[in-house]
Amino acid sequence: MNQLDQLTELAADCLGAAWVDTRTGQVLEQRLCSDDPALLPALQSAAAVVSERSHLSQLVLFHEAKFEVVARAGQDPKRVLVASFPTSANLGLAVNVARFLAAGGQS
Amino acid sequence: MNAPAAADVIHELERVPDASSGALVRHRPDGSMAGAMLVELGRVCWAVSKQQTRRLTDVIMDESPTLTRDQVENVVHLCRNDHLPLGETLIARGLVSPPVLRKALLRHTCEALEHLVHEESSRWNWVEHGGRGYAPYLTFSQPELGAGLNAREFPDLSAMAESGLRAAVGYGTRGFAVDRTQSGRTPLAQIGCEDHDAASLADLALDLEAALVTAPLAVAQIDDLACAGWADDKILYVLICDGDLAFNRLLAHVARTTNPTKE
Repeated sequence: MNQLDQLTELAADCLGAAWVDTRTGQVLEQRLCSDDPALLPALQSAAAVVSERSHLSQLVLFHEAKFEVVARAGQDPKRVLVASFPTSANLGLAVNVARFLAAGGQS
Repeated sequence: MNAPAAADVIHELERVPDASSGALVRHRPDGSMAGAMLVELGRVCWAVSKQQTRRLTDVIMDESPTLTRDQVENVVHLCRNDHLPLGETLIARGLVSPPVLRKALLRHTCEALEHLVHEESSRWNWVEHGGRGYAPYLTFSQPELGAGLNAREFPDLSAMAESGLRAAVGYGTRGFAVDRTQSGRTPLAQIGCEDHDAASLADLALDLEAALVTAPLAVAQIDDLACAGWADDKILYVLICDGDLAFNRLLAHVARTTNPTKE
């Protein structure tokens, strides 16, 4: 099972997640659990914040109804794992699962 | 309109060689000295301007209403005769507390710098000297000086920033606030950021501004610091946390107390 599958399984509230290449902004892989057309662009925008800032390793962006988590990949810091959650989701769980999986962890 | 005094002063301080002591001096066209800012190890000890009419003793008396003019003048007289430092002598005699003296020194220094920045136009010249004599707790870092100068020039905005920051800073966190409309990003207010240099705070502010383009509140791990940022039209607030589990601690803190998306 890959990390995106594990993420959506471990954090069941996850609206969607993607691996993004910060050099190109290209979505390398995605799992969307919502049909909201704004979801994927929001994941890309969140990844873009860290794309030119190599010193920024983790990020959580809070919106009114959702939050996004961005974590750099342990193996390749040019790739980031980005995931979106509703505000009602468990913040600590969402952040730490995303960070753990981005770092290369396996559940 | 003139550039804010804080931006000018911090820019000059950044040019002072690290670990050196001396004075940044401004001269008038006739060659006489307009004033100076004394610096030790990157911290400002004191500034004086020929244009300044209020003496340090006036400011100390403002800050310490129970102090009488006679008490102060007696100490001034003693210090002149015996070559003693005024501030430390006032403290030693129990006439002012260290926090009151520190506040008065910062105010007096900011008044002098305001004159030197806005009423003089010559270059600041760095004159190095070997002597170090100021008690470190009576010297000021760049963020303290920036906030002190901005509080004089932009009192309403600074008071708003200070109030917002006080409401947000909690146990284990420190923070600062900057004017978003000024490119210099000098602190309008700061709590616990005395040991940072102004440039590193400005860099953190820029990183968080970039994140706030997409969301009203951001928490980021920036090098070894966990930082949270949020803003209104004019003020950007930044909280900083470091140490073990800093990111998680800051996340929990802002989710509980600061989150503007929950207003």
